[in-house]
Amino acid sequence: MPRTPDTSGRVLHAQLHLLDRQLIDQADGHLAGKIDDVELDLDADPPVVAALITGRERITARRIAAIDTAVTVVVEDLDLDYYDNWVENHVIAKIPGAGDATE
Amino acid sequence: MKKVLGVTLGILTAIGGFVDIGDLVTNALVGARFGLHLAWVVIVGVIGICLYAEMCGRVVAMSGRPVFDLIRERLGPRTGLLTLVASFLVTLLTLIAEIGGVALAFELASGVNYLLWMPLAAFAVWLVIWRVKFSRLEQVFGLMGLLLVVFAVALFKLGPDWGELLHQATRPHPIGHEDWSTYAYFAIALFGAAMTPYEVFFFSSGGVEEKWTRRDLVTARSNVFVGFPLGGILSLAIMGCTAVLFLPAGIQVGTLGQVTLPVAVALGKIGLAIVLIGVFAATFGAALETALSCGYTIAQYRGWQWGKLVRPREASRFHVVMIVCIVLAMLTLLTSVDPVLVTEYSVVFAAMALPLTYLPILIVANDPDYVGKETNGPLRNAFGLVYLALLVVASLAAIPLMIITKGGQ
Amino acid sequence: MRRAVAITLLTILILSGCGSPDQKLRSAAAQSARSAASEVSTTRLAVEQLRAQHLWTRSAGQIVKDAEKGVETAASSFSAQQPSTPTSTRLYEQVTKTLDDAQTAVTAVRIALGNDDLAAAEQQLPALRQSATDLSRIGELAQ
Repeated sequence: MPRTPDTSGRVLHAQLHLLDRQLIDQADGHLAGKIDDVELDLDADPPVVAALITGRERITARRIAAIDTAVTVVVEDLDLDYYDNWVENHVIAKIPGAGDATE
Repeated sequence: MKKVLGVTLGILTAIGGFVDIGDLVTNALVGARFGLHLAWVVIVGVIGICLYAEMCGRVVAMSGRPVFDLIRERLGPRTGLLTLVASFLVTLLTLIAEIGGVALAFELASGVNYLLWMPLAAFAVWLVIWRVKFSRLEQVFGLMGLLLVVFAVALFKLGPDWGELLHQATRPHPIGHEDWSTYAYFAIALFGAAMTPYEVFFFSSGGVEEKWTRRDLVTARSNVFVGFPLGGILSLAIMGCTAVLFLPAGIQVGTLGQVTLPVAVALGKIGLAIVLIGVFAATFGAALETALSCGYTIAQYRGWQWGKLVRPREASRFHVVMIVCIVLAMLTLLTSVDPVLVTEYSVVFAAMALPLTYLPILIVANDPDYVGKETNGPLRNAFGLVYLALLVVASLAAIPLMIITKGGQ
Repeated sequence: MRRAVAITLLTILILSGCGSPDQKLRSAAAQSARSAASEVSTTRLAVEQLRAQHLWTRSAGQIVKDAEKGVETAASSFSAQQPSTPTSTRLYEQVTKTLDDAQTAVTAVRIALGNDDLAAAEQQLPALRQSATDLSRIGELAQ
């Protein structure tokens, strides 16, 4: 059961509710990758989700804000957008109109 | 008003998705060779796509997530990857056919070689995706594509023997020089054209772009039940036109010009002008949809930010995928490969990918995790399974038949 | 399992190419003829519609250009056939001549339309009609 300030503990099926699920940034709602792996704290009884692994980043359980059809997390200083930012800076930003909301 | 505009998503998806270059070519071709003896496949295809598109729409409205997003979750990484690869490749092939179709439409109108129109068409597709708002895109091409109803008008004007047409439609067997292998082959082609994968990806992702919630369930459903049957009727009209005009004359359809000729015969230059605008709108709209779908599939599988609902720089990888796909499509076409031939193959390959595309939809639509209380009832599931079985048969038979008939000859 | 697969593959391969050499030539002739007949009839239809002012010259020209390519393909794919008996050699020569006549007529129409000369295109109508009839007859030689 993830321990976060806002949500009470829930029993989850790691494979059904967590793995490969979409991550959403709580701050602005943008999509931040998929959950590639789940780190469990097996010492606790029952076992507790310690962190979510996505790409190169590790999201500790405290950052999980909501678990629904997607998992919302508090991102703050984590760099979940590394690859997208790279592509943005090297490719997309060079095309005029990249920063415009479509009219 | 929003309800009316909401229906246009279905119409675009249907016209652009149901009557794209694949449908134009396949229905015209089949009509000229088999009359209406394969018409039943179109009807079966419409029911199938309605069934599954409704499931997609429901999943989006209830969960806020598009179907492809959930494929990896429910099928596991390996099957999910297989689905991705198959769907993506088929969609890319379809994109090539659509851009080719746009160029052919311009060629037919102007007499200027289609290869010269190609880069312009590809650039235009990209530019519209880059700059134009999703809803505007739908409305414009959805309404313009409705001009294809001119095929139905032309069919009436040609004054066919309706009794004869009905006679053909109720007798599902090959005629003339055709045999059961070509009959089955083109049944599969029609199936592929009617239920082609990108239609459900686009409809599903479009629902997110339009920010559907459970309140939009009605909109989603009306889109499906108005849009796709309309597309089906137009497909039958296209088939009917060539059945009436070409079958008796021994003319086989191999070019876009021949597809549109019945309309000119029936309605003259005005009819031709209308049908060319309609063909342009349908193929250009479908090019937009397939390009977006190429982006949707990969981005949703990987969990990247996607969609036209954010600025391009906020979904950089999504846009890069689409740019690469459009460029690849253009380069393929610049090799002078016949776009109509590409189209004919794309629908058969689409048929092969169908089971992989549709199985996850059936699974997800039954999952209360995503659709809450709105899971499939037993009747829907029964139909869904019947269709899945049909799709598996079609998918397995596609390659052997392609070999036996040498690509439908 | 493997044997079943092998037999299936073999069956498919056999089904896709069997018959005596005479039969094969007749089959190829019929197919090429039907294909060419389709292009000739398309050309005829295009000219008739142009005459009835249902088409613009540009579009009619494009349709005929495509038809010309089609006849060329049919003719060249048939000319690659290898007749091996006296009967098939006679058939080969007859069919080749008919296909050449078709090509001549369609090309003449293409040139006429390219010069905006509707009258010259219309002059080809009898030749096109005759060509279509001849080709259809050959087309009936085999399934």
